[in-house]
Amino acid sequence: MPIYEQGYTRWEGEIQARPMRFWPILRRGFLAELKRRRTLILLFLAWAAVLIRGVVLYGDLRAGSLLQSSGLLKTGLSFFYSALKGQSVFVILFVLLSGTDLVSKDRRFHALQIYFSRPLTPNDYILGKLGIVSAFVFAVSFLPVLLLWIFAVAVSVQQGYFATVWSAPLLALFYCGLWAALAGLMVLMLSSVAQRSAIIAVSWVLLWGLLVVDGVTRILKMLTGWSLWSLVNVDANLKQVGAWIFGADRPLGYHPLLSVFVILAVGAICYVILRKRIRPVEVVL
Amino acid sequence: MIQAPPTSPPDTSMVVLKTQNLSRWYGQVIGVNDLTVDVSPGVTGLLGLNGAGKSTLFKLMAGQLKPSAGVVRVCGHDLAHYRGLYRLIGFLAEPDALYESMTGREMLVYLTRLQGFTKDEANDRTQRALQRTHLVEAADRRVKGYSKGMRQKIKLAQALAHDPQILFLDEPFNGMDPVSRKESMDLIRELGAEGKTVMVSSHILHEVEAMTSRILLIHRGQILADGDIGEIRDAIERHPHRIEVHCDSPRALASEFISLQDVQGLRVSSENALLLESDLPREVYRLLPEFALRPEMGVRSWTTLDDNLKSLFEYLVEDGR
Amino acid sequence: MSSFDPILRCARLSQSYGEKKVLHELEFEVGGGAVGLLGPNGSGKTTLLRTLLGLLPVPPGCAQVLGIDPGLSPLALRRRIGLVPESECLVPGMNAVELTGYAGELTGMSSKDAMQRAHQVLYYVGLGEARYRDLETYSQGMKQRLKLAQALVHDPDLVFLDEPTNGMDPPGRETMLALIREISHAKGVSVVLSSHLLPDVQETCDSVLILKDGRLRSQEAVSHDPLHEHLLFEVRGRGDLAALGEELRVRGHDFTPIQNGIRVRLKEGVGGPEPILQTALSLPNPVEIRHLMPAGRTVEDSFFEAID
Repeated sequence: MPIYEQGYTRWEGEIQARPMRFWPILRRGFLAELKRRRTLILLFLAWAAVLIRGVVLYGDLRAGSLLQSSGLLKTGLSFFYSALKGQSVFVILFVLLSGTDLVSKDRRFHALQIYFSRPLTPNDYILGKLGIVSAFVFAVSFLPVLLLWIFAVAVSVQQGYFATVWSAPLLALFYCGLWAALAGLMVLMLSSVAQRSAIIAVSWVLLWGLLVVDGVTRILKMLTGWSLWSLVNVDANLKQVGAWIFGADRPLGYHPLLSVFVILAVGAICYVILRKRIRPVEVVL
Repeated sequence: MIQAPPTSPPDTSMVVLKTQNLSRWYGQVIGVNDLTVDVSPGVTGLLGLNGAGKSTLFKLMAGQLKPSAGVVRVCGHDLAHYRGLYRLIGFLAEPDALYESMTGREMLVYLTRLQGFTKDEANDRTQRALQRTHLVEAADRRVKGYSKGMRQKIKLAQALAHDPQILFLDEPFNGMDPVSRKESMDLIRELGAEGKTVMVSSHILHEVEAMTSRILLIHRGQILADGDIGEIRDAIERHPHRIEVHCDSPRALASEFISLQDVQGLRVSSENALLLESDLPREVYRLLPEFALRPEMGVRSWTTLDDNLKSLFEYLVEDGR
Repeated sequence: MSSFDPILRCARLSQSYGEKKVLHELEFEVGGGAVGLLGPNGSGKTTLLRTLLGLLPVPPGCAQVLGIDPGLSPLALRRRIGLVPESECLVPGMNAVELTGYAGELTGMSSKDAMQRAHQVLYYVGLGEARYRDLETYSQGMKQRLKLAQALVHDPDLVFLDEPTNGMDPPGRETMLALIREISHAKGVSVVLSSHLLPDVQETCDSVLILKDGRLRSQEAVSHDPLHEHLLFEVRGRGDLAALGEELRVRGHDFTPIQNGIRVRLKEGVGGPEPILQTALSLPNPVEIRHLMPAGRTVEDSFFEAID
């Protein structure tokens, strides 16, 4: 008998076309990850790291020992750049913890059928998932450093300090955006290609240019004297762009525009592969 | 347990496979519980709710699982002790374990050779199996590209290739289109007519009805019914037969039937239908054609509402709760 | 959109995968209610469904679902339709009520509305008590019903179902088919049922579309009430019914054997079951006729005729 507690009723409400169709994906995914204990612990640690920087900065600023004008400029902005770089460990951890399962599990459980029988495009899906990873990246990089900046500006006694560091939030926003997008696209791409989290994580670390790739490119550079080997190291190129916009020292031997090119190319390739792996027409029915 | 009375003295030499007090448990969970059943040649339908123990029973009877207690005998010998008996058994199981990169033909030949046949024999048998399952056209394509229905057919061909005497087919039509279903049902009927012992498990009851009138119903790991559908139906006393007669004057017809001993209930279900309930409907069925030939009754048609496997299944499982 | 507008319309719809043409100039119109979509493997059913869901590009004007062109406005379309796919699908990490609510949100409902509706719909499909349980404990039947729930949560006007009774045991199949019948007949939601199980389609659908090799071979109504039929009868029961058939043949009628009985075609000019009954009573060995009904054309008849 089909008559259970209540019969089927039609719904009186209206379904509106929502401007940000990806929003439920982002929200649900973010909250689901947030609920885990490891997330809260890591967030705490990430913020603690910035807090320590803040304490050190406080001491410096109050003591007024950074009064040299040109020195101050460089130290000013690049201090925040260092702060961001210092969060790398946490960013990497969150990208891997929140990102490795995002697409692979959906593929394993055929959840994509549920997504694409709704009014969602593949780009909506990608934006939503990317948003989850980016939210965490921002939570441990941009947000704490922004607060650090506010704190620094509020606390500094030097007159010229604000003038040297006013652009920090905007630059940080741009840099973290680039960081999140690139790291996110890469982990999503890998998550759409492989199934096991461990494999995805290790592949990401390699592709990003840490450890093995970093070591190998250094050796190659030493042996051949050719600095362009670093083009394959995504992490190094991202840092190069960061250093460029923040006015810090650039360790790589070539022009930062090449780094920009590498970043855009890698991002585009990841996106194309990702799109190919989640085609609605293949996945539904 | 309802056991249909045998219509003739049992010929035990005809029973090819039997189980005796067969049990299998998984830790605390019992899959089948003390089953004793004889399976004779021909087609038998194995029915039951999900989780009742059908797959477990199949695996035990096909020798893929060892019993926790009891024994499976094939032609009188204990299946667990005579590995050679596996040659007599063909099994079509649910999980897909096919060699995706081979063609259908290659896969069949390979598996048949594993049974111990020579290359020529294997090729021959493969060709015959492919013909019987109507797969010859697709045989030389890679299994990877097969549709769900074709995958089932190749599994069926594989179960047949070594010409076994006993076949266990677990949901063999899963994913097949109507044409393949019909062809496969015809094949199974043929195999039964050839004297093979075929047991088919299916949830699609009208297809089971189309292949055989013999069923084995498992419920909670035990046998609930075993025998001919019609006889089982007659043996269920708790549910009287419900016969719906379409006629112009149901009340007039009712007054004729009310005096019949065997009619327990009458209901005018609409202005041109009469519902009869009877424990022993033989008289009712005898009288209906006579009444139908009397024009004043206006009897146009009738049907027994629960004289089908679906109703039988419902009654048995409901009563078995 | 008035209730007389077709729910589906195709006008010279063709689809190709690269070089291979999969659908050839399909042309049909379907009114509301429940329509069965039938066809052997490779007939193009899946491609047609994907096109109607707006997942495949299609030239404007070739297809219309609920008045919407799936090529032009696939998103608007998918707000008003639901899909119960054949294969398993779950959203990992969610229980039934979360999944159903999520599905509603993804369609555009507010999270509060989606949650309310999710509870209602889960009760409707019979999962009310189990709605917080871990999906890993769900039986096949429960998973199928969950798929129906996620297809209904946003109150679609049309639901596509692909083999909705897959893997369900007999009581489960009954329930599912009853649900489908109810939503399409009592509640005004149109249904497109794609299935290889012809009797299921017979029971639930008002009309059928039969495809073969990418072409529409037939579009017919499903007869549910053949009681006005005079010449074609199904006779089932106990005893030698084939002998009855033979004797009928002698008298100028015709019969074919069917499962548990015979199908009789009476000769023209003679109506009603009388000839059959007279013949039955004249037989030396009595037969017990348990079922004597006019036989309408079944979906199975339509199918096999259409694809030959």
